[in-house]
Parts: sequence; structure tokens; C-alpha cells
Amino acid sequence: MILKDPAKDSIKDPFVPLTIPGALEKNRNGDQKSLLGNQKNLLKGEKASLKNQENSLRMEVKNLDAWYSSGQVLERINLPIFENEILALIGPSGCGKSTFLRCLNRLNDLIKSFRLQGQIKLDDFDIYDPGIDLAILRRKVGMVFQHPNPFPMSIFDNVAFGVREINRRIKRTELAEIVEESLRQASLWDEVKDKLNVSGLSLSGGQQQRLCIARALAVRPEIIMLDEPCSSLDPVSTAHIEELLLMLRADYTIIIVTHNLAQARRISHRMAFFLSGRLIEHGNTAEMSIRPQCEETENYLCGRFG
Amino acid sequence: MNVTEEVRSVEFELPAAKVRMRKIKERLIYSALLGCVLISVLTTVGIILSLITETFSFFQEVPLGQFLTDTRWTPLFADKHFGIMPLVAGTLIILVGASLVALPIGLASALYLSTYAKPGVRKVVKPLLEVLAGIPTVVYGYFALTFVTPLLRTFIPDMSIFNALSASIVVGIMIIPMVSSLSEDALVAVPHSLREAGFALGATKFEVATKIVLPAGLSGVIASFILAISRAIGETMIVTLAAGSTPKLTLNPLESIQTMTAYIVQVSMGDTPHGTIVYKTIFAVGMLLFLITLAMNIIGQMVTRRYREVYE
Ligand SMILES: Nc1ncnc2c1ncn2[C@@H]1O[C@H](COP(=O)(O)OP(=O)(O)O)[C@@H](O)[C@H]1O
Ligand SMILES: [Mg+2]
Repeated sequence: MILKDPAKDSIKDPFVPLTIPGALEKNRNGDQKSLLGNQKNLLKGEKASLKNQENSLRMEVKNLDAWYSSGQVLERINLPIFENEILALIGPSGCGKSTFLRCLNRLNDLIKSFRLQGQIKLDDFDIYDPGIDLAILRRKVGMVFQHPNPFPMSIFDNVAFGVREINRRIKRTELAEIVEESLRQASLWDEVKDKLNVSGLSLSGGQQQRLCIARALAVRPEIIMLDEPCSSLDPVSTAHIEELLLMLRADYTIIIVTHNLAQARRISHRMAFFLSGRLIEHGNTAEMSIRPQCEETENYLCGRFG
Repeated sequence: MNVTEEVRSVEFELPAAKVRMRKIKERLIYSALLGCVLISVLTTVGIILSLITETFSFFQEVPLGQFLTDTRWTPLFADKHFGIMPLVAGTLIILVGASLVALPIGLASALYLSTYAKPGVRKVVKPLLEVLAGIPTVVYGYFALTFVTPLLRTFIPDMSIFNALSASIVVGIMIIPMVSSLSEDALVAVPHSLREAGFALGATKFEVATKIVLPAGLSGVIASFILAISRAIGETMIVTLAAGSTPKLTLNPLESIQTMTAYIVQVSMGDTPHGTIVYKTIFAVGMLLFLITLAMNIIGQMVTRRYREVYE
């Protein structure tokens, strides 16, 4: 866990677990043959196991306030994020979900007028500590955006992009291995293995989004954030990605913003409900769906607004 | 009939005379606009036709083979030779020199403005660069002759006063704004989410600028290059003033040369009688210039289409 050391460790670190045990094995053993079929079983299994294991804290957000030039957009947010969970952020649009997400990998640093107060910890590091290496932080906390945004380059180069940034002189064979593995994890390999040199932009929307997921996975992140990743996709592609997230959950911590409550219920272990910049409630997905603690949450979950 | 209906009928049922007036007005506007279009189309056609006829009659006196292979261009001397190569070589030196100056500097400015510069800096620098484009070329020509050449001669003393190097550097400076401004437009148009995706993977500003933004805006950047190069080929005033008037088959930028455009100026300025072979040379040279520029435009469009990336 070396966040602050920019040099050697950072270069080698992401490549140590070259073969990721969970997701890939499952896929190869054929447990996941029917992509749409096993979802429910899988979820039940996951949930059962979730109860058994005591999950450790990965990130912790404490008293987070955030401002744009337009005014305050996040107020007193306190939220823990646990290892190997899928955390769904829900709430009406404009309530600050994307802003919250972009605080976690400091992407908001790019916005001049943005200001933030409070603390966000990744393991034992305060990620807003001046000594933090942004490149390493962003590799540990990967991000997938609302609209598929592949780079204007080949499928292979899209996935290899981040890896090359880490190690410029990586061997071609080693790189190819990482690319293949990442594409397999994103369950895109079979569709693109014969056209890795074709532009990423030539793929369909759903494939592009899975390419973006593969691109994020290639640098071996520990936490993956997805900002409404299915909002521009058709139902089949959406199901595909949900399936994928459930698989990835074994090895990663996943934070997903979604407008789709059914989706949040299907795939998440915990939900966090945002409303006009405040975190109203968070907790176990099943419990929160059945017995929300706050009236606002209940109204939102029942579709009375948003 | 109530009040509102009355109002309606007043609005919609115009008297016949008014309707006729309106129709005539429409027709007049239509004809005026069409006239304007026709003027520009006919002018273009006229120019091309006169180019073609004069060029045709030039080649009845000078065989195409000689035009293309002879190594001397001396229509103004007693011993006349009509080899276009020296003029092409002169143009080529200017073109290459200007590109070496303008393309890297213009592209670097575009990358800086589109990725690094704070909005305030960009707001000041961009218009400033565009002012460079508004300076009359004769001023650039004098700048080359009275400032750049003496400066260069302090380093290279045996360089001639009129030389291709000085002219090409200044032509390069003149086309920098074209490259930087058009390239910057292309780079700024690259979707913001692509940059964010790059940063989210831990890339630095430089990597995002060169590996993501530049490839994504490549079609526009190449288009700006080609436009700027066409402009350098067609540039007349700077080369007339600073590059000399010695058609010479050389690629040495330290010598005095003559470009195609400068030759046309030289002949047009003199009192060359209509219909003579010297008079016709300027049309042949002009025709070649026209074809080169046309080819550049076509190549530009092909390349642009080839590299255009489609984003939603
Ligand atoms: N770059 C920005 N500059 C100024 N205000 C912004 C910016 N991005 C978002 N906002 C504002 O912050 C609020 C929260 O936005 P956002 O986090 O995108 O909400 P959500 O993702 O939940 O829809 C909104 O009111 C939005 O208008
Ligand atoms: Mg959002």
C-alpha cells in the first residue's frame, strides 16, 4: 500500500497480481455461462457470504463539504466504503452524486472553482494530503464515466494506455497478456479478440462501455467507481454490465452511481441516498429498500419524486 | 361576427395589391442574391478559362517536356529557357523552411492554449496571435529584409542579402497564427470526457495533451497544416522582397532564389507586351500554382476524412 512513494514501488506494484484469481476463474470454469440467467442466484450467494464475512473498511469520508462557483453542492457527508462491496449511490439528478464520486479520485482538482473541506481516507492515507501522488491515487481508484468515452485509438491501445503510462518499456508479450486479461474481465474478449487493432470507436455503445471498464481494470485498481455507466445503454447491454460488476465484486470494491433503483437493488450490497447535497441515509440495500429510516428516502424509493 | 374574428380577417386577408407588391419584392430579393452568387461563380470560371487558354497557347510554343525537364528558367533573357524546375525548387525551399518554423511552433501553441493555459491567459493570447495574421504581408517582407536578414548575416556572413532562409523563416512566422488558431479550435472541440478519462487513469497533462487530445483532434490539425502550407506556397510579398529574383535550381537556402509567385510579380510589374511568350509564361506558372493548391485542398479533404473520429 504505497501511496506516497512515487518511484519504484509504484511502477511495479500494480503488476504483482498478474492473474486475478476470482473473476477470471469463475468465467473459465463456466459458472457464468448464461449471462442473463444466473443473476439472481449469484446475488443471493453474494449476499449470504457478505453477511458471514466481516468486511474491512477501505475508504472513509468524513465531514465532506464541497463547493463550485455556483455554491455549496455537498454538505457534511460521512460515509464508509467497505472492501469488496458494491455501493450504490442513488438520488435525484443534481444532488451531488457525480461530485461526490469525483472527490474520491480527486478528478475535481481539474475544475478551477472547486473547493473542498473535510477528510477522505483511503486505508491510512488522507487522499487530499499534499504529498499524495495523484497518478497513483487515480490508478488505485479507477473510474468509468456516464457516456462511453474510448480514446481515438485501437481497442488494444485503449486498454494498454494506462499500463504504458505506468511502465513505458513493458514487454509487448506482457502487455498483450494484461490487455487480454482485462478484456476477459470486462467480458469483451470474445467479441473483440479478432479485431484488437480496430478503432475503439467502431464498437457498439455497450461494447464501448465494457471497453472503458477494461481500460480501467488494466491498471489494476482496487476501487472502481462508475458514474451511471448504463444510462446510455440498451437493456441487454445494461444486463451485461450488471453481470460483469457482480463478477468483479469478488476482487474489487465497486461504487456505482445509478438512476435506476431496480438496478441498485439488483446489484448493490449497500445504498447511499443523496438529496440536494446531503447524504440522507445509507445502509444495507435490502433493509433500506424494505424499511427506509427517513421519509425522504421512502418518498424517493416509492417514486414520489426525482 | 365578433371582435376577434374581425381582427383575424384584417391580419390574414391582405388586399390584392399588397399581395402583388410582396411577390415582386420576393422576386427582386431572389434575383439580387442569385446575381451575387453568379458573379463569384462566373469570375472563377473566367479566371480558370483565361488561365487555360493562355496556358494552352504557351504550350504550343514551348513543349511540355522542356517545361518540365529543362533546368534553367530564363524567359527574360536573350537565351530563353523555360524549365520550371528552378521556380519549383525556390517555392519548395520556402515551403519547407516555413513549415519547419510554423508547424511545430503553431502546434505547440495550440496544445498549450487548449490544455495548459488558464482561461485568462487564453483569452489574451489567442486574439494576440490572431493579430499576427492581420499584419499586411508587405510589413513582413520588410521585417525579413531589414531585420531578419541582417541578424542572420551576423551568424552566416557570406549569405547573400536576398536569400531563401530569411524569407522562409518570416513566411513561417506569418502562418503560425493560422496553424495555432485552427489547430486550437480542433483540440478544444475534443470532448472533455476524453481528457477526464485520461486523467482518471493517472496520466499527466502532457500525456493527455499528446496522446489523447492530439490524436482525437488530428483531422483538424492536419487540415490547419495543409491550409497553412497552401498559404506559404501562395505567399508573394515576403518572397518578392526578401528572397531575391534569381531562378536557380538549388536547395541551398542561403542563396538568392525565386519562387513561382515572385516570378509572376516580376513579369506583371514590367511592361511586358500582351501576347508575347514572356506574357504567356505567367499564365503557365499561374496554372501550375493553381493545380498545386487544388491538389493540396483535395489531399487535405481526403486526409481530414480519413482521420475524422466520430463522437456522439
Ligand atoms: N463543473 C461545475 N461547475 C459548477 N457547478 C457544477 C459543476 N458540476 C456540477 N455542478 C453543480 O453541482 C450540483 C451537483 O451536480 P452533480 O454532482 O453532477 O449531480 P448528480 O451527479 O447527482 O446529478 C448541480 O447543481 C450542478 O449544477
Ligand atoms: Mg451525475
